[in-house]
Amino acid sequence: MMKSDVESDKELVSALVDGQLRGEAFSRAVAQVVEEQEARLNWHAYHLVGEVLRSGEAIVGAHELAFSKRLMSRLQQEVPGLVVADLGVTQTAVKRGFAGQAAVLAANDASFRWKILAGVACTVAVGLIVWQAALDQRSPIQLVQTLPPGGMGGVASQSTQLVETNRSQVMIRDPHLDALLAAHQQSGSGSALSMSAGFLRNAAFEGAAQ
Amino acid sequence: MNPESPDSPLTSLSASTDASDVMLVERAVAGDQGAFELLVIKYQRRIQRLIGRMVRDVDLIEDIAQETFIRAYRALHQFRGEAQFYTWLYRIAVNTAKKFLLELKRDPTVSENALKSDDAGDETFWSGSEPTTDETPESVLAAKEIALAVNRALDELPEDLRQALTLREIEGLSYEEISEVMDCPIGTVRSRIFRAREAISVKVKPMLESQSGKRW
Repeated sequence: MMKSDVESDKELVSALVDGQLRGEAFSRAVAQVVEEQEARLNWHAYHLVGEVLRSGEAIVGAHELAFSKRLMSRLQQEVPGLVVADLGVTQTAVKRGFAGQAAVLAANDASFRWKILAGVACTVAVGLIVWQAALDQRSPIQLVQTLPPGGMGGVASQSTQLVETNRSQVMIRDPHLDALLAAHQQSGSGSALSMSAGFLRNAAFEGAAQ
Repeated sequence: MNPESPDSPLTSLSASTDASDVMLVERAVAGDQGAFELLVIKYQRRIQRLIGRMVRDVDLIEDIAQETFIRAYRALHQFRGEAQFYTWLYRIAVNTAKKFLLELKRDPTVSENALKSDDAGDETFWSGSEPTTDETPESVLAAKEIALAVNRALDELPEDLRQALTLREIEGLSYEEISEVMDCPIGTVRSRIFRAREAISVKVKPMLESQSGKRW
């Protein structure tokens, strides 16, 4: 006599209870119990029968299936993407649902994409800070910008020098300016310029003579 | 013997069911939460019963059981299959109950006995006749009726079905071993065990459904 599909499905659940299924049959039986209420009840009842036969007593809880429903709902809240079989939702349907929600995800959602984005932003920020610190580490610096030959006579080296006077201050020394100041040193003390120039406030003969 | 103990007959069925648990765990870790739900349905009664022996407050039992399974789910990737899944789950349940008791500063008079035995490594001290705080007269009666119905239904089974189910559930033989003992193909063994279970379940299911809505 041929078994009906229902009988075959139940037998599959029975074999699953005994841990006798492997591979495709195992997956099919698990999916069946997850998705079908009747199969779930059988899974429950078959285990209960076995427990009674082995221990001689029944361990009965009134809200057994409701318990698992509540638990899976709670897990779903804590773990995004969790499939709650009791709601009759397949994994595919849930995945589609989450894909549809992607456009309205908030930045503070427990979404992995946002976490990745935040991680990248933090990494970039840290990288910038480290880079800045590395630049600071390079001082004392002495950058020499070589100018083309020619220019003012009597000047051995025509270059712009950044000379660090101490750890925190860098004074710009312009050889052109130094030469100019040296040439006019005899004309008077104080500023060589007849008018105030804010951008050369510190330029003086004394400075050039150092 | 304490039926909730990891060493009890409830959990020492056979290596095949252990392998099945491990496969379900592997699937759950891989993202199939349905597989985890099967484990929940399979073990929730024993976990709730275990916690019911440690916690006085009936309202806390389900909370602790829920927390136990949630912790188990989070730590599922750490389960290596070296011990039985229920043994692993049992430890989580005991630790969760202890934590709850500490946090709530409840008087763990009932639980202290259980925890002491647990600490001493003797998890089988419990006497089956010992009254428990979580059981109501209705639940005790229902459990007895279900046990009676199962045993009665087993007695009414044809000899070949009863023998196949007994060898499987009580003796813990694999399908291969049963096929040798009963001198029949494995497919026949599988079918006989299923038909035996189904015949008993038909008697038990209405009793389970009538329990719905009552405190366990």
